Amino acid sequence: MTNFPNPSLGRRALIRNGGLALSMGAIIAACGNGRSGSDDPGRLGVAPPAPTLPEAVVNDAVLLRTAQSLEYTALAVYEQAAGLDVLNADETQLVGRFVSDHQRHAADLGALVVRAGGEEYTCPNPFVMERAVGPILAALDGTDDLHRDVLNIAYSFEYLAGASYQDLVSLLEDPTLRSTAMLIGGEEQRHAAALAMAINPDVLISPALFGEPVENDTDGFPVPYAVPSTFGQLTGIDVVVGPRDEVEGTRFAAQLQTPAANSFVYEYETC
Amino acid sequence: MIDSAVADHAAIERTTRRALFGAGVVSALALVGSRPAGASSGLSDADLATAAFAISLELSARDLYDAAIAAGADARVWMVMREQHEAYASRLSGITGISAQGRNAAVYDSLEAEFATSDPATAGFNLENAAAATHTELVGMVEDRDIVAAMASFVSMESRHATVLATLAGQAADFDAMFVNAATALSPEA
Repeated sequence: MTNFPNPSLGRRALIRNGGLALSMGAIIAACGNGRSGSDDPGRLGVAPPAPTLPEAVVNDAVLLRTAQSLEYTALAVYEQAAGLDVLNADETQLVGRFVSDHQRHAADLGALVVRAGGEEYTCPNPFVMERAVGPILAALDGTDDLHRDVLNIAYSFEYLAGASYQDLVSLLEDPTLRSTAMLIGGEEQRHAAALAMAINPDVLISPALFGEPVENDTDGFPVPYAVPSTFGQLTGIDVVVGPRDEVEGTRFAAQLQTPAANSFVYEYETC
Repeated sequence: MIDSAVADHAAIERTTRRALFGAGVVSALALVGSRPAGASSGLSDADLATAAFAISLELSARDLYDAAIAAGADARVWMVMREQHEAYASRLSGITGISAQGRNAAVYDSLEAEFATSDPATAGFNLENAAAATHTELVGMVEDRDIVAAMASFVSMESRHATVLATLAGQAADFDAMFVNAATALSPEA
């Protein structure tokens, strides 16, 4: 075996000197003139460029358009419910009144949207329809009690509408828009109270108001109360519908939330 | 569809009510008398006066349900109604620092006789509607967002109260009574 000793260039010295040369090269390159090309962050691979998102400003018009979209969402839910043909005569009359009220609310909100400098939004809220209404209605397939489910869904969406106005009113910049919006919100809460009484006529007031625990019923359904709390709540609204899963014993559950950044109907959105 | 007639009507109604409240709020400030030390919360005088009026209204509601309970209204719903309104007064008191102690004598005196009964469902229905209408009006007058949020919360529940009491008063088949608030907002001179 032949050795080739080189006392002036050891392994460590080679690495050190090589690194120094690379670093100097990078510095020199960065200081160079006449460089051109994109200033965007470096990208690896061949993925398409990120889309430019439209500017999403939350103003009074957006808040009111969102409220208007919830009215159309309620109308869409009731339209679906009517097609299921499970409500009795009294309930059908009640729901008929609610539909009429929501149509009136939608028109009133349209006027408010225009007053706020925006354009009306005359269709259901796309986010709520995709993330809540669609899955909830799909979960009715094979249910053991369609009548129960339809009433619970109606209650939940009326409650959502009322809570949404309560929330949005405090966000409106123009105080003169608030009273009309809150007048509508109060009517939604009245709808919810009437539905709670239809579903749960024997207990109108939540046990919480007597310092007692609030529990789901024996089948796991949230129990609606006409007077559910001391203050109007903005927390999530639980919806449980559909058949019991044979393996796990659970049912489809969702939670409705008052509008937020992902469900606002921005001014660039159209039906 | 834009219903301009509805919008115009609402605007006219709002203007009328606003004029009523413009006078009322000035009186409410006098009603409060001196502002307690805790009220140095950065709120405008107008907001404090509006909140003071709202507090006095809620305390009037509490005392009216107390009158009904004293007259034999022993169902649990009346105690709940009493407690609800006291909580609303306390909430505004907590936000503003205004003492929640004095009811609105004019409101209380005008309704006391109607509540002196073991079944105040109709009186309560009218009171809840009036309270909800008043707070609905007031949210358009105050600047402070915490007060607006609190009042909006009251409207939510007082609206539900009204529907429950309409049912207890035998008006469940009257959908206008159940779902539309036809009451006029109260002012300190009521």
